[in-house]
Amino acid sequence: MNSTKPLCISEFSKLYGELIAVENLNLEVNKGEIFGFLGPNGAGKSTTIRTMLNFIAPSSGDIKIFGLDSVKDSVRLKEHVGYLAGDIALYGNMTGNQVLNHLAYLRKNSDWKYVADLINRLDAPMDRPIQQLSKGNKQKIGLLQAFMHKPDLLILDEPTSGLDPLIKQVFYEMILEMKKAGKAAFISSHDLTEVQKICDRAGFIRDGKLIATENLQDENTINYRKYKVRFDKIPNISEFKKFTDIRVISSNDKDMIFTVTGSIDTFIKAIAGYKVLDLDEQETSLEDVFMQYYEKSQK
Amino acid sequence: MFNKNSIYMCSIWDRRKSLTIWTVVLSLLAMLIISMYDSVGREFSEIFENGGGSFQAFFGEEADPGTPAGWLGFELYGIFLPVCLAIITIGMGSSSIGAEEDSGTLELLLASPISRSRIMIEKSLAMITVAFIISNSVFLAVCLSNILFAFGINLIDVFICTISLFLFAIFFGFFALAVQSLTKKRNLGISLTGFYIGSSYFMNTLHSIWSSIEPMKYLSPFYYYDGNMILQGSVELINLTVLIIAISIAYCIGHFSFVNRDTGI
Repeated sequence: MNSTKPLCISEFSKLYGELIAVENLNLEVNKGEIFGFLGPNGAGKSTTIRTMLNFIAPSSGDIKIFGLDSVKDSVRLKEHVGYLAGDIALYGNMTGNQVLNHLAYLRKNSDWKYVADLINRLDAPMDRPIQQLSKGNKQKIGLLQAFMHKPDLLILDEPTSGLDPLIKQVFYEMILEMKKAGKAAFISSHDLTEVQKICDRAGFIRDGKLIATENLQDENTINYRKYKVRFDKIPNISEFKKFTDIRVISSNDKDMIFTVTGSIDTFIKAIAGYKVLDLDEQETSLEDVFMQYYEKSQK
Repeated sequence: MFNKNSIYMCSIWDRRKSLTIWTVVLSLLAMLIISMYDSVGREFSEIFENGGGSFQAFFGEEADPGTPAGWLGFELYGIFLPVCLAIITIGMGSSSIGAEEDSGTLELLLASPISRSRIMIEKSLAMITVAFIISNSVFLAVCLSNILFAFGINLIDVFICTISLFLFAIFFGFFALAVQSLTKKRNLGISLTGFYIGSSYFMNTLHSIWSSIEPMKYLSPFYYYDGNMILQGSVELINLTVLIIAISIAYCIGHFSFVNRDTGI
């Protein structure tokens, strides 16, 4: 097994005529790491994933999985990859068992004992034709075919789409088990809570550009806080415009909500000039962090 | 490749119902047609002779139904069987990759450690197998009917005609495959190939009425297939060779365009 990084994207760009789908993307995923890939619709997430698997070719740059080139070594590298598409498409007239047998034959290595365990945990219906299954049950079959050969790198696009909360929890356990075994995962998702829950790092992509990469396990590196302040007499919003790291995001008769990306001391001193009745730190979501990076990239 | 879970076997298994129906129906039809020769063959012969140049040109001038070879050509191997078999192979050819690309299941295959070449080869072999089974089932039905109804046809001529029919159908299948591979559009593969087969039939048959279109007959696969002539005992090996070359070109275009393009998913 090649000891190089599970995923290494270098100066990757994809153009469709004059449309730039992805521009100069650089990122790496390490062994035993779960990497979240976040972005709005049309940001370039699916384009990046499709290029990794050589569904489409890069316009420039390269993508390597365990040191294998995504184009030249496309067949070899897929021996180490498990993939789940964003909108999973399975063979409607086959049962779950038939789909897995078909794909296992093509892959030539599957751990059937492990598969049986996953089937049990996911409560996946394996004997009914796929076309009769609900979206959630199809997604379970999709997860099974991605995990069945215990790949060294999982590439998952919206992996929990359609799953109920209990099965989502099973999926989180599956991912963490793979992580403990030293495997890596690249997860594209819109579910920011989920990414925050299971990922070690996250990359934010917008309009084809990677605008930030953050370590999610280290809160200190996410220098972004949100405060709700109740004033005795609400100050003028323009009073805070001179502070570049302080922004008022909402205001009513009594309360103002601030986001603070700089020094807390500066913020405290800024509001100290007014009679403060209450100060409450709000929970910061990844969406808030993402919007911060997006707005910075717009400047 | 003969494992039940291979792409080849799954492709044939997916078509098991239509394959069975086509095989049974066409074989029974062949037997029915041969059984009717004694009773209606001569009447059709009179109709054919009195039909005039345009009528004879449409069916092929050699397709005089008054003889066993002519009857088989007029009713079966002239237009009907080639078009039926071509419909099957055009459908398979345009859908081999096209249906999976449209539905998204192509991702499952492309995410597996198998090459695009292998996918294309196994899908193509499945189409060839289906065409082989149907064409030879009809041949076997003709052989049986020849005995049952004392038809009196030269079975070697029918066998050679079956080979030519098989090659004819495979060409159109790969033509449809090539159009789909180049354009990523399954419907275009079907419609363009359908147009080609229709127009090529007229290119081949109507040149005796309109001499200005005679050069166009060389663009028609029907010219090289020429079931009626083969059944009369006149086979041109060059025609079979041209069909094989055309098949190879169409396949190569389809194969290399699929292997080298972005997939439309």
